[in-house]
Amino acid sequence: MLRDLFDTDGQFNSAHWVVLSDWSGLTWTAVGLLVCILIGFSWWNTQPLNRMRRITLLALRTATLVVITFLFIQPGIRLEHRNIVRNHVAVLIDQSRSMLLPGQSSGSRLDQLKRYLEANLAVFKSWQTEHQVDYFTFGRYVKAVDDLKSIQALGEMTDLAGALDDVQSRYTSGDLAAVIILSDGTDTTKLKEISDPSLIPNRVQIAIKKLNAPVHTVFIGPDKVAPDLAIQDLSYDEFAFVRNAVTIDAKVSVFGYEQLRIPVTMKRNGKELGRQVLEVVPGKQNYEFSFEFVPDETGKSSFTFEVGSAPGEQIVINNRREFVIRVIRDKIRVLQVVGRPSWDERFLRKLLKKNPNVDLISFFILRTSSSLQVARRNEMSLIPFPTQELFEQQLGSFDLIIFQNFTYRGYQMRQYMPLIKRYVQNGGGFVMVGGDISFANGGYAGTPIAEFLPVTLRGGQLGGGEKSDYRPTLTPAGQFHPITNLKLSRDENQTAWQSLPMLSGLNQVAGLAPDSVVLLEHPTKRVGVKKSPVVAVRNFGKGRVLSVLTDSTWRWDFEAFGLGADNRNYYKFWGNAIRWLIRDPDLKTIRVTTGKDRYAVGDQVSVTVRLQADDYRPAIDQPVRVEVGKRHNEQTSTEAPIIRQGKTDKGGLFTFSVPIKTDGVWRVVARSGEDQELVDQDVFVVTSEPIELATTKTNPLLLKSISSIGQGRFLDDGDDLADLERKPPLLLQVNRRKDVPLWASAWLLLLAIILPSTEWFLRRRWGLL
Amino acid sequence: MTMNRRKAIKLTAAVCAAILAPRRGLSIGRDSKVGIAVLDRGNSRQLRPRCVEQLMWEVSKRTSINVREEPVYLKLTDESLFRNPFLVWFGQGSIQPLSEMERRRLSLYLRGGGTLLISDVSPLGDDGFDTSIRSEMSLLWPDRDWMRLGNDHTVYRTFYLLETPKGRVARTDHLEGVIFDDRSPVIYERNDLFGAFGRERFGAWSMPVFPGGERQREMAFRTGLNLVMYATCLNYKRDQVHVTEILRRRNWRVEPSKTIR
Repeated sequence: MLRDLFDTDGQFNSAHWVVLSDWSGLTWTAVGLLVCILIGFSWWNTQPLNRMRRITLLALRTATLVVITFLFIQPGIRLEHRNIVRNHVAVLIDQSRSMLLPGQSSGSRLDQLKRYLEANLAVFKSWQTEHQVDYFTFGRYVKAVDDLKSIQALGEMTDLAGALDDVQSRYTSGDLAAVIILSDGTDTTKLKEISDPSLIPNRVQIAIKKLNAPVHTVFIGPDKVAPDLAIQDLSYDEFAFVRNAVTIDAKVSVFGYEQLRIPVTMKRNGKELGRQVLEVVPGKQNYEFSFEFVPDETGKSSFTFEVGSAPGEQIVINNRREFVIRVIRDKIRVLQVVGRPSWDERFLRKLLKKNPNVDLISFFILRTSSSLQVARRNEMSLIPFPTQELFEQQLGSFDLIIFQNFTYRGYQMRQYMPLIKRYVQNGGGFVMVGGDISFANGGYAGTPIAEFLPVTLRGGQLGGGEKSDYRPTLTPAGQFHPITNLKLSRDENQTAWQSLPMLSGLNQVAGLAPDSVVLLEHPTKRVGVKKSPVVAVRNFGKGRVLSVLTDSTWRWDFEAFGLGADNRNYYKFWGNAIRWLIRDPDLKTIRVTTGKDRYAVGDQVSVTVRLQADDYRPAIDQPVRVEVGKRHNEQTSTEAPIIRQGKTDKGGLFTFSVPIKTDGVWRVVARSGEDQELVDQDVFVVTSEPIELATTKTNPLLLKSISSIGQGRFLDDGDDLADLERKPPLLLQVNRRKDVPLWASAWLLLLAIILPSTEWFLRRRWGLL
Repeated sequence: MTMNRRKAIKLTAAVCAAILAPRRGLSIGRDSKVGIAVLDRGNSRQLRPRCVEQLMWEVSKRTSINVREEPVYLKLTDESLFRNPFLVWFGQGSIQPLSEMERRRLSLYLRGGGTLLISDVSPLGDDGFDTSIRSEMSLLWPDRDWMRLGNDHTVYRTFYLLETPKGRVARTDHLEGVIFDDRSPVIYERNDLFGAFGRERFGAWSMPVFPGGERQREMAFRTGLNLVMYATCLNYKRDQVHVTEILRRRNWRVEPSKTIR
């Protein structure tokens, strides 16, 4: 305004009032006193006059004094051309997905926000001489944006505290004029439920104050929230143990409905696991549900928790949540049945007891029917061999059965042998460890158990096979098999086996089962043309079987320890064996894995297939077919599975990435082998991350709290930004300056003469002089 | 089905083989049998002759364990020490302290899984061996407490249910030892356990048992058998499947293990 009046040429960018005189403070005081005294004297002097005359004279005297004082002060207008460093106004625009929800009038909250910005563009423009207006979108962090029209509500979270932290880190102290936040206030992180400044964590309060500028908030959103059912929270463990109850808790919130009955379902791998009813009652907003199930097999399972949609509900994406739970073994339940106490049993039991992953049930035959009994039954600690309980009732609960130098004879066990065979066929693990009453010596020839052993037995083949010490040798298959894999490298593994203490004793066998694999063999002794097996394995049905044809592996522990060698190889050997026998997923010859259990829509999902030969060598240059598709019962006609085919590389790997554009539960199936008989699969969830859409609620109180702490204003979209408080910009230097003295005016001089002259004339006329 | 002469001969031979085939003592290797090694130190070879054999014979008759009756005598420095997980140390009177090498080997043996039964066969009133052993054990297990094994220890129920350990004499009513890795690698008895087992060449007992007579000898056998069973099965009888039954059979009053030193 001033600049327009006094700088007609536009040479200056600043104009303000100044005092051009250089009187000292004492002089100012003296002048002030003199003026007051003179006015007071006039007041006293004019008392006898009538009112009209008195006022006239006082006004003239005062006006005269004012003019004289004005001349004395010498006021002026200072015109300057200044260099100004503009400070910044940071405008934070909420671009989270909740901004897609309905706004105040028609359209979404984002539309409402854009309209508001457009209406205030002129204001922002008017600030540009002093401030640079920076626009940012925010979710967790802020991101600079140039084109306001291009903003899309794609953010997966709203973290106001994080965004303010990020703003603070982008500007140096004092560089901000103001911060303006435009949001619906639905923070999805630590400020989620906050509605009062005192509830805002100290750390966040400090962050706001550190901005060192007023923080204004503008609430964008409807006055009245749309009715909605929403899954607020799902509580579950990402890992569960097989045969242990798993509980999944869910919290559902209800807005805008007073009475309603809606089904709530939990599905596992597409099959309904449980169904409950959400019964809405007036005044209650949150409802909790709990589902329990007992997983019976290991592996990944996908789960879908779904709340039916209510009448008139606009947002249904928050009515469904998918997730993956990985079911793992709790403990490996091992049944160790021992025919007679021995050193081999003693060290194997120690090993099994020490393994924290093993839940061991041991049963040792301490005496036989032919043993002398010199004590009464109650003087002995013996209990009957619970054959029915172990081999009929509890058989299925074991992951692994070990027959260690055990003969079934004498315990009426023949009837349980078919059950044991079926147990193995159905996926159980079985180990037969050698000894004088094991294998053929135990009478197993011709029994159902002999049918699944890796070695063949001949009846009447009694007696020990080899009494002298020997060092077993690794077969070609043994060099790669996980059971005999003591070291990572082949050479080190070979050396490790050669450095183990020697074994003694070998159970004689008639030969090998056709599909068995020998891992360790006797260095010299033969069965027919082949060397006698010492350790052999076999797959039988879904189960796996291991034969250890000696009772002296304990020497790999105790003797190795005594020799100062590595007795950990004993633990490694048996540990490997247990993992292989229970079909540890890591030991499958084909494995397909995706990097994560959960992806966002549009993410690249990386798929890795690892293929190994039967002897666990990498299967090189082998064809692999991988199908990535939505789980069967979710398949829609428009979504054909993605198929990738190729060959494995030198490491036996086949890898690729694939973008997934729709949400849901996806399954990757990898196949290989001549008849595609090798199959493995993995499951993952692609989600549009409904956290942002978990509720239709807004939270203007949070915005109000932030602006309160930030000493700014809380506005809604009806308020104008024009008069928002901002910190002034920084002045760097003055290039030109011009003072326009207002006192050096002829009119003013004339007034200074006319006013006292008029007073003198009137005083004389009225007889006062 | 007809049977010719050849088949009949084969069948007869098979039946004879089955009858004559030894049910015990059969082994597939030289380490298959459970045997006792005796520490060859001082005059231990002469101290309790034919006693180990008698105990192991009883073990073979009363239990399913496949035993090697004859003991092997081993020095602590012998290489084959670690092929014999059960070692017995007889002693009487003061003994020569273990050398550093012996002590290191014994420590390795016990920590690696071996079990040592120390048997004081000294005459009553002679505490020389006892003093020596306590001194040795304090050097061997400086980090462990020397314990009196409570009657809830597994060794009292590995096969027979026992209240106290017995032997040729009744010097003490308890066993002592250390606990390491959830087991007792050293068990110390002072009742001349093996003295109760010795027999003369023609079958008579070598030494009388005092004061309990033949019942005490039987209980000594039971103690010895439980110790052999402990060496092979460790805490098997502490498994839950056995506990309920065992508690039911005896009016159990638990006296927990106590620290002695």
